[in-house]
Amino acid sequence: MADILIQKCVKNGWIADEPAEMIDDALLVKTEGVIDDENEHTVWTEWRLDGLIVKRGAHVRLKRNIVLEGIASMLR
Amino acid sequence: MANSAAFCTSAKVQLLNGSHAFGTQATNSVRTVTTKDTFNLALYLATASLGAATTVYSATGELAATGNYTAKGKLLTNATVPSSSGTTAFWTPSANVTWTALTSSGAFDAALLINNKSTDTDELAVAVFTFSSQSITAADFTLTMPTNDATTGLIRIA
Repeated sequence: MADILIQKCVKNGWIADEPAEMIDDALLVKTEGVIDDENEHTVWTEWRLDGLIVKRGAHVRLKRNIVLEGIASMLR
Repeated sequence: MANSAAFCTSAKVQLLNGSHAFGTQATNSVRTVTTKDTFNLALYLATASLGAATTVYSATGELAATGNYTAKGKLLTNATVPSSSGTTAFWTPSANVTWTALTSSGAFDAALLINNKSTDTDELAVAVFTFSSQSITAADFTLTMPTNDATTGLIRIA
């Protein structure tokens, strides 16, 4: 339920003097996605309330090597 | 403009001049490196223009210091010295980097590796890493480091 509490705060614009409220899980739409290519493997998750994103996180695993090509081309 | 993955050209020259110490080094008859440098990863908006021509850290285009993001990003854990396998040398930070409960000030798609050993006003840019554009709202953002080997290490010299 801690995540739900944060979501309510964000939706309310981090109103400091307003008591945080729980959001009913049933009101939230959770979507997950994966991006997997030669550059990265990314997993993201978002929750929407009435179409608005109230929470979105991501994990990005970097894949691409950028020095290898650069140095190798310098030495050719 | 857009961000482009690159090992910064200025940092290539600095490598040849021995400016960046990713690990310590026992004497090899040329020099001894007793203190390794420290490195940060900072996040940049998709509207920024980082790339090979980036020479130093700049707050321009960086995520705003709000929503649990601080200027210059996160200090990297660097407990593993550079190594080699076959003809390839490699280095990777020894831990993932996580911004906890982050709310980003906009969509971002790049991370800049910064050498902290340089002066505060002239912190050297080392490399730019790009990924799909992300907007984070009240949640964690993690950059997971690849396996530290000759095939997938974050920085490799072949």
